[in-house]
Amino acid sequence: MKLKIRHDTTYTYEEPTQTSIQYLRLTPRNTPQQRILSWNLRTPGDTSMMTDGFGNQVTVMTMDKPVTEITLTAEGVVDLTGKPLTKDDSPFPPEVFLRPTLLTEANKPIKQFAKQFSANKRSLVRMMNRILERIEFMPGATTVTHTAAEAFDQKRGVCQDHTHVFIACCRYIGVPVRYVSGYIHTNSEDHLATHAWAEVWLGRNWHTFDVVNLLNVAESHIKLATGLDYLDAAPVRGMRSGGGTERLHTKAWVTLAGEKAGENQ
Amino acid sequence: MLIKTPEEGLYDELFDLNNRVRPHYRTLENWLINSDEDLIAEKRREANVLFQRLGITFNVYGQDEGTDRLIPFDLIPRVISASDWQKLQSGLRQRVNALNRFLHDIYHNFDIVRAGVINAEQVFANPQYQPGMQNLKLPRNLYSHIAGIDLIRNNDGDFYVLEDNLRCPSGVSYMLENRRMMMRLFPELFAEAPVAPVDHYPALLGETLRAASLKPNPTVVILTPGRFNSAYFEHAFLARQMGVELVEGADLFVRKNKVFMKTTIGPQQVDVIYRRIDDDFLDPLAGNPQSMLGVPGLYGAYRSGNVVLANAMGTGVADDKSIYPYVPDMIRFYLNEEPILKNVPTWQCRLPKDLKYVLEHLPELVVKEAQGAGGYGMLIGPRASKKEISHFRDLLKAKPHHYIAQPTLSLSTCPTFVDEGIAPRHLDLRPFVLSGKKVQMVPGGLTRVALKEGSLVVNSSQGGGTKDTWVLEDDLC
Repeated sequence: MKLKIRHDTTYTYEEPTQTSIQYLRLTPRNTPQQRILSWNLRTPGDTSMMTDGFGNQVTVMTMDKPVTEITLTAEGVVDLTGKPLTKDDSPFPPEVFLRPTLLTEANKPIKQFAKQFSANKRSLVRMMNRILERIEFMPGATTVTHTAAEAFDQKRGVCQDHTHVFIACCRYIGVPVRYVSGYIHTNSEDHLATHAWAEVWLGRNWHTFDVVNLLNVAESHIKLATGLDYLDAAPVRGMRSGGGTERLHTKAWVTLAGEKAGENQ
Repeated sequence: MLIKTPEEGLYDELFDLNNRVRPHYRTLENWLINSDEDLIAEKRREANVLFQRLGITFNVYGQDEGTDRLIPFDLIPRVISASDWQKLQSGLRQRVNALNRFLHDIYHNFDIVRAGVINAEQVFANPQYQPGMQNLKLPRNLYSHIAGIDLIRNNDGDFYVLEDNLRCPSGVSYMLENRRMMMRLFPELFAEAPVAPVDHYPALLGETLRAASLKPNPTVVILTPGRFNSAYFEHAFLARQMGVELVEGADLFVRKNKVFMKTTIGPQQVDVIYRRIDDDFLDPLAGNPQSMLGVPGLYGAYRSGNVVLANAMGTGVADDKSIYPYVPDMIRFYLNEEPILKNVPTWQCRLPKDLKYVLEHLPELVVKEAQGAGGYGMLIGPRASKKEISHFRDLLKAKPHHYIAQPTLSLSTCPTFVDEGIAPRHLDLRPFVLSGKKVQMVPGGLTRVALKEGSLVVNSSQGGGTKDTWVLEDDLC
């Protein structure tokens, strides 16, 4: 399945910034599951590339001239091969993904909840269902700094929060699990096309756990980056001097290649 | 002055088992017994004033926050014989080589894990393991350019490694200032005893840091968290001694994956950063987003090979207490040699067999947390009450993987000035091992001494003091 992706991210600032620097994980990699047919990331700044420890492609963008707006546009065509996740495509052993982070630390309520499940696919699928039942999908209910514990407590959140809670539970019961950020193609209009899900290591293979969509196959998922949590895989992490208050507007379109994108957005 | 002899069963650095003075202490002992009590008292006061004036003070975290305190300096040096030092030096070289090989391995091919020498979870699930370091090629494959290895001498007379410090070991400024102080107060002593010099440490450190980069004339800086850090004095001291810039995060910036320092004549590229900031704070875009101490973009520059960090990120996994028991195996695995320095035998409570032994022998053992600072404390069996022991028994049963246990070692003693005169006090030793083109160190290191009678705690934050450390160049004196 060939998918066409366009992802716009716009930061607007109350007053001009002086300098800014951003790590952009907005370039997908070729994997057995996805072939990048074309990809283009446009930024207004000066860019250099690096590869992080997880093997993610990172564009480092710096800007020295004062601006009140930064727009990033990622665009391309990706072919999903439909191959299942098989052996480990991470540069290191799965045990790395056993370790809790600040965003995925299991607190008492999460531990109580996670204890009911065990390290096999059937049980984890049940766990995924129970997490979605508990945490209502509600855009705007949380921010990127919310932890798994906070999302679990307030019972509302977006895919990132569901994924963090799922990760916290898995690691607590000793199952290696990693965070994935990327895009998803859906027919529904109310879902965001930028997405996050988890991959679980069950002894031989990695397995997809898309909590928000209750999916165990990544049939319409385009992977951008992986890591221990959101902070490792975030599409944008930046710092700036000046600028005052910031507003972020992000929009992504994922359509079957051949269709005209974005007309009804 | 009279020197009080040690208790039986302890190893004393000055007196042998029959209370005879060991040959390498003869000059010093002669001086001590012939010294006038008032003169020594006068010199002690002088040393205090000088240290105060030099500003060698330190902040104690937690208690009296923000106030500077003087680390007590003891005038009686600790002496190490030439032959003991020869052995220590070879042992330290071997150990640090193996630790650097281990760090390279676990961030590349994991041979030691594949070979089954260390279990994967022990390494990779360790919070100090930095996935961000995976597959990063470092010049000379060096990770811990500056290592501080804590040693003690047990009552069997042998040196044991208590702990490897591979992140930002501090204390070397005390080693240097203690020597300067002694030479200033007692120049005549150095005329009599063949004491190996240590004042070339800053030169060796500079050489090591320059060798950390493959560039011909690399620019080196020291990155400090700032003057509120407990070791700020040392950062400033070393920068001045080496003639390199002392910078804070805000003095550096990154463009095109290169690090620059702001100077009055414009940006200057930085090649090596001797950083005294923890991994997580180095780059707010890669580690802790709240960090104000680091440099945004530094991680990208590091991954691109445009800057070297000394020490590397992720060295903490190799000095963790849960990895410590494997260091002798690392030496055998990477170097195909037998370890020269002894490790303290360690029971890993996560192993059922070890746990069983530990539970049966709690009153004799020291129990520590496997991964430091977690607030669970430690148990010193021989000094614990029945209640404390039973409390630890419960903790061990509940969370065995959190703990390791070791036999209670008796640290050696050395004569020390105390209120009652000159009496034996327990001490340890931290040599600083520098890895560059080769592994080098200045003879000796920092000797810390527990000033309370019978105390085994030498930490400066808990009332420990320091001594000048003499390595004799020649034992025939």
